[in-house]
Amino acid sequence: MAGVTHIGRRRKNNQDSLFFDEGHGIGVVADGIGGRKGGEIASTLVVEGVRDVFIGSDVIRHEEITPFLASAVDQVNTTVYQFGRANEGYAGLGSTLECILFSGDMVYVAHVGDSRTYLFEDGHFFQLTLDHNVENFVDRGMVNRDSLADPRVRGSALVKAIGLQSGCETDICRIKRRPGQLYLSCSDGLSSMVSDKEVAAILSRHAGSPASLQKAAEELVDTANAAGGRDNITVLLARVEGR
Amino acid sequence: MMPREKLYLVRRDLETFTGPLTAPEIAKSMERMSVGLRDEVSGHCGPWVFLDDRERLRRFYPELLAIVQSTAVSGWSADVGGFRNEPTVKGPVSIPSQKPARRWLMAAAFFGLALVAALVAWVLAGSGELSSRIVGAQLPATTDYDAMLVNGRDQEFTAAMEPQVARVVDRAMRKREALTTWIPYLRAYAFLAGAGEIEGFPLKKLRGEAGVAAPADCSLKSWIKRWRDGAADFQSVASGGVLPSDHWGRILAWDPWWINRRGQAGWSRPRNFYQGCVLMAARAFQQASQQASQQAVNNPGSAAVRERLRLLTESLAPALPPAIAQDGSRQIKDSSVFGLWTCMDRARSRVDLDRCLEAPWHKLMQDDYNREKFYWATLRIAAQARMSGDREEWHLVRKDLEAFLAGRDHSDSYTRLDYSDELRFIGSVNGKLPESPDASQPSPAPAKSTEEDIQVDLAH
Repeated sequence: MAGVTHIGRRRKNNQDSLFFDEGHGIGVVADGIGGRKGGEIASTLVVEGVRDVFIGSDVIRHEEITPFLASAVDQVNTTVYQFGRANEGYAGLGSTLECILFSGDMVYVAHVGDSRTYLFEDGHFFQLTLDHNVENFVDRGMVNRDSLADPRVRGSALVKAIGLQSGCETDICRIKRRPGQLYLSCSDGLSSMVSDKEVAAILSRHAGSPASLQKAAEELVDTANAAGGRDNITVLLARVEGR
Repeated sequence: MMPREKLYLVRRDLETFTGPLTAPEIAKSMERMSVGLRDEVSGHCGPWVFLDDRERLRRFYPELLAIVQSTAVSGWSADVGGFRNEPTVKGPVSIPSQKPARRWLMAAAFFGLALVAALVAWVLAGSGELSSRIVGAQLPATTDYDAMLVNGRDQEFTAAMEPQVARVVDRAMRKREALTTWIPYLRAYAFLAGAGEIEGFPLKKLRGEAGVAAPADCSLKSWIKRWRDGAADFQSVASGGVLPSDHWGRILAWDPWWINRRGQAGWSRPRNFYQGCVLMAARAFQQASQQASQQAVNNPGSAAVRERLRLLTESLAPALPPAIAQDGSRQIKDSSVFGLWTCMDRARSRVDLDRCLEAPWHKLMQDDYNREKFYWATLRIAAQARMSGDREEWHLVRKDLEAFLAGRDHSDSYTRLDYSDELRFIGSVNGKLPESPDASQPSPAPAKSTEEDIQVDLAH
């Protein structure tokens, strides 16, 4: 695993947070929202919360991973939500979450918000997660199409984020783990600045050796900054070894 | 870098992925029905497109469109009898001819009949009955559906049933034999991926007669209303407040072990109406939480409700409920009354169950109903101990059970789930336990056996 988080070129602080632990096979990316201070705190609460729940838990059986992840996200959501309510001036703070967890022959991804997780395999690049924004929810019939008629509602506006409400539905997906796979979790500071094809090209250049993972992460961040770096940029790469 | 051979990833319900696969592999998967029209596909750096969305498929992955169409057509040819290789009607040529005048007469009669048939078809088409009364003279075989249901290919099953449902309902409503044949598939269609109801098919028939402790209407829309109406009480109930006399409260208290042991004739998957209700309740809760106009459902108690529904849904397994099969000692983080019930449902031994009496739930155990639920869980452990031959466990719980059951009804006082069958089973293998007060009364004449007879499966 390798990861980089960077403030970007326009923001005054970094509201993204990153945590990964190769030994435990877990990585977390969070992108805070809700003002300068609030966003930073929210994303920190999210990565630390997931880390603490995971490290502090007993051995988890494979069949329990999905409920475990849902419960972990629920706890973290409660923490952020209560923080926002208890501290004046932090109202509306929240965060996205990408949590990637390797267990047995499966890879699990817990996802809330518009950060993303991708799979790079055999030279192909696939986005695994669905951005939780108004546009996507309208497309899937989960939000009334009339919402888009309201000029105040942007299609990219978040529908779900950690800490905005007392409960938070999490998308949890799983995929078979195979040697050679490369997983990328990132904040929208990367995905909004660098096209999927450019990202795939960078990954394919570095796909060969484990030592180049860190270089790949750094190149992705550099490319986002070169394109303008309008937001904070966080990149987490995880490769399945064995080839 | 351009990939050498195009690969695609298939996604189902935003949850599971298959692949990456080549186009021929997708075709094979569709033939095997491990990939269905309601799955999504994505190519290299491409968007996700539903396989039944021809327009977007043509736009983004035109190479897959032909595969999807041909596979869908060949798949249907097996099901829709009468469309392919149908014997052609012989025309006037085959009629033995004797005189020209007679040939004219026969031809006129034939065209007259054809005209009448066309007129009838047009009238029925206008009333929306063409497909059910003329085209649908022959219903598809049910064997293919069986394979899908048994193998858990629910999406394929739903996609395959979709175009047939109107005809099946029409036939089932007119002929009892058709109803008997098709009722398990209609129920599977309604509850596995549907909305718990089917247009033109009465809810009463969909429900059957055995699910007496369940709500009469377990449709998605009725559950959305229940969750919305009850939302204000979530937090109070989660904290151990008064249990509501509403179905939303009762379903959260349902015992997954009890539900999963009831097999009903006329049901396949779900196994019974209770399971169907749980599926609908969980789906409705999710929808109610996501709908912007129903934010009231997302209040401080909703996380506990959601967690409880998750356990109930996960426990709907064909064999041993996985949640129950899990290690009962695993820590449960939910400190609400729903977490307490989950703790009891997961307990596999008396030792596990005793942990539910400790913090954070010890105060909740002062409540009468929670104590009662504790004993129903004890009863389950007793039954499981008897099935596994664990006499020690049985002796641990027997006295407690005897004290609990003495002089009381054998139904859960809140959910009304009846444990008489479990008690009879335990009695038959280990000697009698106290009988219900009602049991001393003369038994009414046994009801006539119906297709809805319930069977308690204690063998699992």
